[in-house]
Amino acid sequence: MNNGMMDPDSPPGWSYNPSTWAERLPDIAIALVGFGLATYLTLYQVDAISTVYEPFFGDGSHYVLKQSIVPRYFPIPDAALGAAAYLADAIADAIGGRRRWRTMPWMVLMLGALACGLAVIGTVLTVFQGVLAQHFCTLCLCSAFCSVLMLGAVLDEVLATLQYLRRQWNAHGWHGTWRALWGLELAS
Amino acid sequence: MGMLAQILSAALGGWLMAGPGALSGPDIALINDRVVGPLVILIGLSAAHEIMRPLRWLNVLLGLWMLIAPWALGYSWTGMLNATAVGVLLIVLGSIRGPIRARHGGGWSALWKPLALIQGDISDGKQTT
Repeated sequence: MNNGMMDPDSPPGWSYNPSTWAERLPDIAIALVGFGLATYLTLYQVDAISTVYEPFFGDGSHYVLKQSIVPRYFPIPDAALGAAAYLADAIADAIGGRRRWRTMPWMVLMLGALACGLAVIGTVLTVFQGVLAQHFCTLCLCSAFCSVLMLGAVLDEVLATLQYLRRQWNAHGWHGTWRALWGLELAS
Repeated sequence: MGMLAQILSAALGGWLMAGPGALSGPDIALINDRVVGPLVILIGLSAAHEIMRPLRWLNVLLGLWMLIAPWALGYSWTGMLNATAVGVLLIVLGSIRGPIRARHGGGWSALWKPLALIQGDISDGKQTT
């Protein structure tokens, strides 16, 4: 993995290329697992299925998903938002080749924002489970765990992209950076 | 070593959430543990990645808080022992940086230190050395 110096697509000064498929496929897999979990929980929240898998906390899942503050006052099933975010995450991570830290900065930054949002909201909801609902939901915890696992792995690509945009800013100022953000190279 | 220390920190966060030390005490202890626990997990699992290793200092701060919390919030004796042990471990584990084996083009600090950027020419993406 640390053969980046021989890989012409690596960002300058990196010992590996964070945009290779070997780096990205595990994150896509985790995002799809999160998507599956969140979709399953959405089905329970909208009563499409009558029971939810809960091996540890008894009526915990039922309480968290249907009776606590978030599902009662939120206009749409909150698990559906998580499912949408995970799916967007998986798609955003799958688009682009092994130089996308340079050719598609906007995509990498969007992926970074999604991953951050998922991890932060997942953590907040986990705190809500323990503090407000006073019940835990096993699959909700698993889903939050997925989001936290993904975050660090996505951020190295984000760093490579930000460094690239910084170099463009040094050389070409705001106009050049804006063009570089959208993958439009300058002629020089 | 560095990654393992952060994963162990995250495990401590899980231990806090399970709340064995707080269950015998007043509710505020339970609430504190269930707030700190998920935060420690988020920080620990993120800091396990080399690029986010500096986040470990946030866990050191949370460890310091766990040392103070029993006195500030009023824990039972068992809760206090648990919180103190967890706090000390979080401080120790968070202080372990471990080897950083990969190179990341100067890291996050390269974003605001222009002279630290490696190969800062405009012919980007190509290894020139």
